[in-house]
Amino acid sequence: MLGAAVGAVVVAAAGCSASSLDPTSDDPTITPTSSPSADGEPAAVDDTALVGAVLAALAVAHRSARADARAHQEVAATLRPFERLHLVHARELGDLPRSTNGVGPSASPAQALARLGRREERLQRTLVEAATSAGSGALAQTLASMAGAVAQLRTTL
Amino acid sequence: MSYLDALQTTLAAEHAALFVVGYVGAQTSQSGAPRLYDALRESYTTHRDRRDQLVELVGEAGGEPVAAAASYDLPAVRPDETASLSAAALAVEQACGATYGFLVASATGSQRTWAIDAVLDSAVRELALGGSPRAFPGR
Repeated sequence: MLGAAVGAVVVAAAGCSASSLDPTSDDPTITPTSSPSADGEPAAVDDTALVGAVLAALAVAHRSARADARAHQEVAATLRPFERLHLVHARELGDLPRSTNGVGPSASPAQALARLGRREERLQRTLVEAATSAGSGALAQTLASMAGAVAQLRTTL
Repeated sequence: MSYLDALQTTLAAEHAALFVVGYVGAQTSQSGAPRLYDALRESYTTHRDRRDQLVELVGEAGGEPVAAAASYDLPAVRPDETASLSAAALAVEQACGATYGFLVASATGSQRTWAIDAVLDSAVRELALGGSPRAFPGR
């Protein structure tokens, strides 16, 4: 595999094994980012509220994209990849919070695309801010990656 | 892995990326594959800038920046075959993005912000090199 070979060039040049660059490995490459407590031991990192806020942002973006995809078939093909991405990202963090607050569709396909652009830009910003402030390095890495995925899809708009 | 170790790892990856992207770019025809040529040129410039910034960051963190190797194993690309050249450049970009992901995990504050920006930049550049959107670029 050419791709694997080139990847190995970078990994080998970086002076570490492939497993140490594998985010799923058990290698403790993540340095705790919490402030030390008074006794010098690292304080427990509690990112629960931050994860909840990210899931809430994902839910808003998801409901909006889903409502518009159902209402406007002309732009559904553009909206559905975002819907799918929201679900994959939500599963990574837990699940989308259930809400009884429905989101109505936009008035027109053009407005649906405009709303999608605004929502996804806001979501990307939320993910970047969450990655910046996360106590856990591993969570920060995941959130940064999610922001990168949103940035990639936004280029299709 | 300490922040300094992560910086050094990322710097070493950028040394390798520059070498490989430069090589792939030299195999690419500006007239035959102008979009890929432009993407590679932009990629090279960005990786060179990141390398220079990493050298500074390593110094600020109290380390001695790792030097580039004399040579690196090169991908077996077929000159002027766009798909082959794009695949090689894309693999480098994805590997670099993953390395920046680890830097995000090891950094805090403004250093983490810088690394997050690199992850996003790398993710978008993947597309210019023939990649497709994926759920977790840089991981």
